[in-house]
Amino acid sequence: MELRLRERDHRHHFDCAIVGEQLVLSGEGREDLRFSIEAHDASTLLLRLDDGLMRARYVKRGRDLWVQVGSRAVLFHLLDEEEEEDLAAAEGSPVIRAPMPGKLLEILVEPGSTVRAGQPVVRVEAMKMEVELSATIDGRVVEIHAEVGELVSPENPLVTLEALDAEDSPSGDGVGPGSQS
Amino acid sequence: MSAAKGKTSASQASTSKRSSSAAGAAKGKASAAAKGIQRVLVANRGEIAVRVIRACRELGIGCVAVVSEADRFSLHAQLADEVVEIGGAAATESYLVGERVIAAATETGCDAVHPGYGFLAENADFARECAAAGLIFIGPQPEVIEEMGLKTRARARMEKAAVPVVPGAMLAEDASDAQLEETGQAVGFPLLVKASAGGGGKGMREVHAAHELVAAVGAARREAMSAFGNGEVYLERLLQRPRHIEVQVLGDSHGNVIHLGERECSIQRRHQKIVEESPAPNLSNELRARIHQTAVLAASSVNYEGAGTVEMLLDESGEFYFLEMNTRLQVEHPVTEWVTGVDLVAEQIRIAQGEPIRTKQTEIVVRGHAIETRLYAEDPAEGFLPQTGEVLLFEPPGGPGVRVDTGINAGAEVSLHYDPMIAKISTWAENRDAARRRMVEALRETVLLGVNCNLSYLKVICEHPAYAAGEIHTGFLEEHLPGWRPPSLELRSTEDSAPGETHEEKREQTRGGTDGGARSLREDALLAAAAAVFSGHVSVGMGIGGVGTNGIGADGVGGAEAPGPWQRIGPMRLHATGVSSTMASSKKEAR
Repeated sequence: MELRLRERDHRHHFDCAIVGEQLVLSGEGREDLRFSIEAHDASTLLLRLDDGLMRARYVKRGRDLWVQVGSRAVLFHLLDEEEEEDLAAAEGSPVIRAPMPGKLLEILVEPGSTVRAGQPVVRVEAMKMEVELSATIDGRVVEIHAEVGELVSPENPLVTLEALDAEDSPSGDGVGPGSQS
Repeated sequence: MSAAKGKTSASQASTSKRSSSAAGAAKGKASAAAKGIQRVLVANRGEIAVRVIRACRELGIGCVAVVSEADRFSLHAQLADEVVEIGGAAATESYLVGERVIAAATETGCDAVHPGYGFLAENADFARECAAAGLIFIGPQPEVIEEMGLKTRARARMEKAAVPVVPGAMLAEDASDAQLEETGQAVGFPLLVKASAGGGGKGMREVHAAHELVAAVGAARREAMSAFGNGEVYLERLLQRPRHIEVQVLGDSHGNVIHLGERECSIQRRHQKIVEESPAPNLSNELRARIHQTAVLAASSVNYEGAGTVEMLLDESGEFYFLEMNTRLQVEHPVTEWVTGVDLVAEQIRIAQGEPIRTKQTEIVVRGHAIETRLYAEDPAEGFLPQTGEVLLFEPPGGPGVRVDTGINAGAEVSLHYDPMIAKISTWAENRDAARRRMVEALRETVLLGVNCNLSYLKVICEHPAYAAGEIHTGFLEEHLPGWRPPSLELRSTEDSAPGETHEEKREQTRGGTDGGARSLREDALLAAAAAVFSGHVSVGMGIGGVGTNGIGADGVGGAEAPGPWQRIGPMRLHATGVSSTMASSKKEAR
């Protein structure tokens, strides 16, 4: 079967098959991942990978799955087709949003300006702390959706970016989101 | 407040008549002291409310919790004898509304209020209103709260008492930009702009050059105004690689002041403490003793009553300065409790009812070493932004020498209304390195799903060689882990990997860093788990629509069966290497 997952802003597409006693995960140009499920209960999975036994703790809610291995926890979301199309469309032009409700204090870029990944784009106040939000990609500012002083929330886009064309990319090293599908 | 002078506070039970109804009778406080505190209203939420409730119950004192409508089912509400709902989810509609807290205390027959930390803990007016309502405020005298709460006044007071303070300067509110820069030059760069009413890094700005000062003062004023309702800021010289060392003090109404050793709280991110310990490492006994004496001097100079903390900065040359005094229980108090064996909340209650401190200074012996880490609902991958959501699974660590203070129970919601701290994990052992190793293991055991948190960050800090060596200062995280974020999952193969390169080789070179090859293994496991669950091979209630059978292979063994504690699919060999698991359904049935 096909598995279409999202983890943060990243989209992943795998094929999942049973071969003998193992589950085999293949796709994305990655070497096949073979594993067997040794045991599980409602929140623990004991997996055998070629390297040995790994314990994963998990909680599934609908199409969301939280998994912790070691002290690392990750949220996976199982995408349906529509979500995946929306996400694919958005990847070329990422939108900066306020992570939580707050107030827009300052806009540090202008429409048309070029930004590098990691460059601060706006300053917002959330939870009584001032926070800078940064560009996620090397790109160009397409649109600014809010004004200074406005109350903003995660639903409202603040700034829309678009990826630079290959020739005017500041450096060619970015394996940014959306570099392949 | 008028001429009451607050001196009624828990003093020697001079008045015994109870002025129960008269709301203005400020002297009522002493009457409760005569027979001892019977019932405490806990004016807080979360882990600190739980901590206070536990202490009350152990002392045989009644305890009443107040909750906002968001906290009806919270842990502190479950543990208290009685619960009063005092308003909406926003703290400004509940935990910060003094009248409602006092009304709840009066209605439920309480004779004392414990404010915890935060909310009303350092609100002198609230302390006075408690006294006016005939309630003992478990904390120091209102005028001391007030004086120490305004950092500029505290600095002046300490200077008078010959306690060294960090060089700095006041700022007039209407100072022109030129005057600002002039004052800045006089203090010297780099410097800090600090909110007079501030705390926890809010309203604070680092300024490295004169031209940045005006903007920084503006930002700090705005932040201070919104956080504390007081926009006053001042300048303080920024010491180079200082250590934040604070001393726990106890004072009583009989004029005794003692210290309970120091805490090292230099591991801070944006001026917010995240790892603390006691005693402070790499400190000569002579210097340690001078720091303790200075703290006792500071507390004595204001006739301090209750538990308090004198915060100091120690610079590289061994000079130390008074930073501020916190007139309340401190978040990191468990490390002091670990090494001294003193129950600070119990002491607060005894002092508040007029008893002398039970322990002499000479009887305070620091034994072993304790470390605390603060587990926060924040996302290290997104600039440590506070996170919200339902805690779906939380398994705190345990074992000897491990303490967990938390207000989280099953289904608890981390909301943006309150502090995003999920738990304080503290460990004790006979020496620092043993306590540190115990902490690393405790963090390794901790499971938290449902909200992003700083768990892996805390572990990285505690495992860092410089931390292990005790080479710490307030710039530690900036110096050793600048811009740290958890490695992003590299689930797809990198495009530039050379053809023919083996899986193993790739693992070895995954983006260098502390976890190296193990990280990639973890990614595999994360992905494998997601595949197992999402493909329906592990049953977790409702499967994804349309996905076929549960279980692997044709023999039908797997998740579809009635859920046991463990569903065995094959025999497990935890230590075996290279032994493939054989499918054996018969073994499962035989179990």
